[in-house]
Amino acid sequence: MLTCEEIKEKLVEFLDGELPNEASLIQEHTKVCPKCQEELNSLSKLKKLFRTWRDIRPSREWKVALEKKLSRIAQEPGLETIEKVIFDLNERLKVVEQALNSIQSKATCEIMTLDELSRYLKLRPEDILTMVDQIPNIQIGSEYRFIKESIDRWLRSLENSPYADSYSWCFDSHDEQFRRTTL
Amino acid sequence: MSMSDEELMLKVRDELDEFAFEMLVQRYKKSLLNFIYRFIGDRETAEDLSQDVFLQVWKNANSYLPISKFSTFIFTIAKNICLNAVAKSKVLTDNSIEAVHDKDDIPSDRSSPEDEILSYEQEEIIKRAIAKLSPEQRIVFILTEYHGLSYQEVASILQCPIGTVASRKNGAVKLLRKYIRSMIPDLNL
Repeated sequence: MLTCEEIKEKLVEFLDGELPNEASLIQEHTKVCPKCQEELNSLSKLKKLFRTWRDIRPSREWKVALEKKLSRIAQEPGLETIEKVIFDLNERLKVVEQALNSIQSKATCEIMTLDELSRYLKLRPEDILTMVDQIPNIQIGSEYRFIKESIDRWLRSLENSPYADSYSWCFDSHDEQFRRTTL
Repeated sequence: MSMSDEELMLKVRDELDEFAFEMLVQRYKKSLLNFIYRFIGDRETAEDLSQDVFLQVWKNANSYLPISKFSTFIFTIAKNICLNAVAKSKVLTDNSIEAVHDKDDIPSDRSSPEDEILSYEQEEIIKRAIAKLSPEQRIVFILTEYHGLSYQEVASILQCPIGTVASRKNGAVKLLRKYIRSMIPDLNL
């Protein structure tokens, strides 16, 4: 048997239609109990008051705004696209790194000392010195330096040339221009 | 014969059916707007957030399982969006309450201008009263009182026991009555 206090605590639930099994019990009790009847009337009035808060309608712009937001989602790249972009960027990075390595290796081997040139040409250093004026060179103080690319070009020019002994090459290290003089 | 909400949502999930999605938008936009508006208290924010609910429905369509009702699914999303808004301080406060009704809104069945004014004032008082509820009490109160959801459905949305829903509804109504009594003693609540 429920007490008045227990029934009062159930009245909100009762008015919400959530107590089908206890509804008749509660109704019967409130008919004979003035305090519970008063509480039931108060809550019923309150429920009626809540109904006075009217619904609003969506504005005319609501639909347009939703469509704009949906179209923005459609334009956003999916995960697969992002992964592909990252993969492509990595591949490009590898190419750039290889190019950089190639440039660096060219830069480190580009200039040869006399000893390096002697090993490269398979000639003795003293023999090179006797014909140093015929070989593209850069003189820095008493030291000679040779740019490999220029040496290669010079060698190709001598290959099968009937005038190999006659040519003297001078190399301008600043602007890479050749002056050919005949001895 | 029209399709059920659940059938429409399955078409959205499995076929990305835009027509089915549009049907669901038409069916739920007013309901969601009013739920969020009563929770947040600001019309512009409510319009924005109600659109976000449908965005989430579209984006998360593949997570929909027909084991629960579609209304549970969409109101769960709406609830989460509302609670996030609380966290970001877009919450209903006394200062944010505004009179937003215009001629397009649902007309009341009151007969006289005096009654119209009275209902406007009462509406403002109800709004202010709701602002005093906790977010969870507010959700329970709005969904059961204005959207006719059962305590069971609200429990599914809030992922809490039915007893908790009943307790929150009871607490909310008692708090609201206390505030409204102080503001409108003539009502004899």
